Amino acid sequence: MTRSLLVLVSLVSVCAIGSAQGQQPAAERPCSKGALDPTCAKIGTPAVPLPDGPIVLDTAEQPRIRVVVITKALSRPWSVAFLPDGSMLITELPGRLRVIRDGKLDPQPVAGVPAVRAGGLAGLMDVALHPRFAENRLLYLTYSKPGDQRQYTIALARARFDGKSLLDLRDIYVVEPMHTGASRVAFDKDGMLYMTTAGYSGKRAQDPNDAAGKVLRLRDDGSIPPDNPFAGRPGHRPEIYTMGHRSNLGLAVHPESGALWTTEHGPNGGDEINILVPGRNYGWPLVSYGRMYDGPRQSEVPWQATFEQPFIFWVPSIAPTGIAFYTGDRFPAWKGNAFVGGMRTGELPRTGRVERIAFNSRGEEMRRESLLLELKKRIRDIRQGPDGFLYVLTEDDMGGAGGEGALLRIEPAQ
Amino acid sequence: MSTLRTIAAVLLVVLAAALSADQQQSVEQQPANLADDARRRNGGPAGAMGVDAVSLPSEPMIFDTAEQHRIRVVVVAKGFAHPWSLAFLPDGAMLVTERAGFLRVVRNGVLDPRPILGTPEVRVTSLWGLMDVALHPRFSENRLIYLSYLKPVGSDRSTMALARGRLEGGALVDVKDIFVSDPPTAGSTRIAFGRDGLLFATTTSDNLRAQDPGDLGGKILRLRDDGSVPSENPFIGRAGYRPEIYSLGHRSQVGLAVHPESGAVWSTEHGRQGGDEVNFILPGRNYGWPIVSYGTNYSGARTSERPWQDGTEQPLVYWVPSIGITGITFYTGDRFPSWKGNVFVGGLQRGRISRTGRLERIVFNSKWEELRRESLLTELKKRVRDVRQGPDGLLYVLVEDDFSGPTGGETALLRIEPAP
Repeated sequence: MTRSLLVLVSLVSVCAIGSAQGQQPAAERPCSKGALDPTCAKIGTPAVPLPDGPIVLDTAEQPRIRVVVITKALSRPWSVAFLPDGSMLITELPGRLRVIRDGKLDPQPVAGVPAVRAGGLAGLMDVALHPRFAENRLLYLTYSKPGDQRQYTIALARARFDGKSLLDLRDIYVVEPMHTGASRVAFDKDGMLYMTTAGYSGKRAQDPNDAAGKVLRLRDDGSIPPDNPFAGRPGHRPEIYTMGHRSNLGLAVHPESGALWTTEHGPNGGDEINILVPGRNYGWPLVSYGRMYDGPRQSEVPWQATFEQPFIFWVPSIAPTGIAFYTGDRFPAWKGNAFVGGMRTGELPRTGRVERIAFNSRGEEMRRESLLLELKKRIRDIRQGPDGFLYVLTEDDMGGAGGEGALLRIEPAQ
Repeated sequence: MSTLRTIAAVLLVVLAAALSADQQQSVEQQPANLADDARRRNGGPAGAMGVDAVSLPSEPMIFDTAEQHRIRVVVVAKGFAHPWSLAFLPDGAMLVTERAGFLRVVRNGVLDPRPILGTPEVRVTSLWGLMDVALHPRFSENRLIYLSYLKPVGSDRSTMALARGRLEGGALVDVKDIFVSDPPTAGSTRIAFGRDGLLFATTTSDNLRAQDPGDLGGKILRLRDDGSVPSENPFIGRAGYRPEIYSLGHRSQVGLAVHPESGAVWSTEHGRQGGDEVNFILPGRNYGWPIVSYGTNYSGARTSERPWQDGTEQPLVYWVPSIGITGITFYTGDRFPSWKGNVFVGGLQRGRISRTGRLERIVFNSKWEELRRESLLTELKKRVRDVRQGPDGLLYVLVEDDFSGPTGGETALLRIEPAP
């Protein structure tokens, strides 16, 4: 045991040498832009490349897991969907849709994806299959749609997928006016479609006549169902399902209740899981549990009677991304748990993790565990596969480039 | 032996980084095999909750951190029984309290096997016993030492008490209680001296007593160095208020520190599940427990309908999920230039998962508004009981293992140094 630790210590030393320079404090500086800010770029431990072979880790309740690297040749992967034939679709933020077939990344991206405005946080984001995909081959994409004069907005496109190309692609919903930010899409048990829009700045998230900073509810063709909570109400966009959101990077339907759960980014502190109730207001930017990146509290008070409180939240922030409910049999100790991806903790790079949340029989939180911290990656998405394993998309914390983009599979280890 | 698995997991990542730096690609499988071997020898999966404990090595450990890029963690001494607090003597020795009631001395890096004689009789529970130790601000003249502890009252009741004694040779002499709270007041208690020589002490309450101004539980008290009540305390002369009270509405405050330059009083406070806090203490203010909290009860339900209401102070920094927050120190030294002005707090466990203790580092702007937060020493898988800046500008940390038992498993006093 002592010998092993000696090895560990000496190896850590080797790793640390490369970064021993640059110790001047970034004292007064918020580092929300990470590596794009030259002073802040010196903050953080070095990136760690993924190994080719599997990684075996111990965890608190599922004692031994194996993390298998399926591919590390992705570029800023954002979302993953499982096709009935066992293959997988992965979106890449720069604007490609990739296929994993028989455990291998097809070097040829899917043809016919919409032109996206890529860069920074913008690009091709979510992919979701129609609930009757096996019959109609329809899939849905959310993306940053280029507009006039360098403006762009968020759009939802639908197309038929023939295994290689997208056919009959068309936008079925476009956010107006111009708008940017993350967007997820999910179908509920009734076949209704939900789409998240971001509302970081100003009070667009609070404007009921603006589609930004909302969760929208649409039919599978993009039309608006008449039973939406604000349908027919003057001054309200009828597609709005819930309002007062900053940036929802995760959206999933609970397997038992059918309720929609979102993960929402606060600023520095105040990341949230919300369980959506139609017509409700989740408070951004008027109330938040977080701070602005330069220090002041986001809101003078964290609570007002008219706004919903988060169901679960994180302080410090973990930058939550995809969310999955574990319903499989491969990890008996994890059954009923929720898994959330995180890109960074406490405003420090290379502190991404998967958060596992265990609940009691009333659905209240009992414990929270951080997994995959050792990888020092940003966790972009997490999903349960049809095989009962967990699939995770990761990227590096390297400014715009994203470094190494990977698809991982988590399996129980013997 | 049981530590091999965990170490191997860490090793793998470290190895990968080291190798890629040298552009080598061939041996990444090896650590996984190491883990396999370790697991096999260890006889299969461990207990249901929490990864295995890790033994501290006798050699220094070197870690990279986000802003102070190379640190060395040295084991100064091991073999304490539930260490709780430490204090630095002018001669370079250190005092360490043990929950079981012993006051120990570490001199020249060696734990003196003989505890200091003359400490008061304490009631030892699974959480409390002998707790804090603090030196009088003029210790070098008067040799006075203060201890906070759980005092037995009759056969079955206990209360928080502050004792004072003179340290002479290997013993405390003239020991007397200078303050005894109304029984029963159990719970964690810390002591700190303000820059004006007045003494602050924390008391604990898990319930509404924290809101009762006529009750000493769940408060921060301010006393003179002899235990008497200073006449300028905020509630002096107010009917229904205990004059010792400096602030109210606290749950369990395991950390208390006075900023060496500003004199500001900061405390760390445990929420239940979620809602651990760092509070900036102002006289006469109410910090809200248990009427408002960011946390939930251990059963899962929210502690309060809302996290804040008019008339209560918001925490300066808080944690959700909880980290089991303990000691707090301001880093004002020169040994870690990138850490100057940062605040360090200890944590026993995060999210109610065993062996997830850590040292948290918080970076503030000039207005004491948080900018960033880093978790340190998570690799040790220990409970971090206390953290202090030593007179040498290095950081000292008390750790214990994450299981209850007579001694706290493997316990140690660690020193964090910059590594060349």
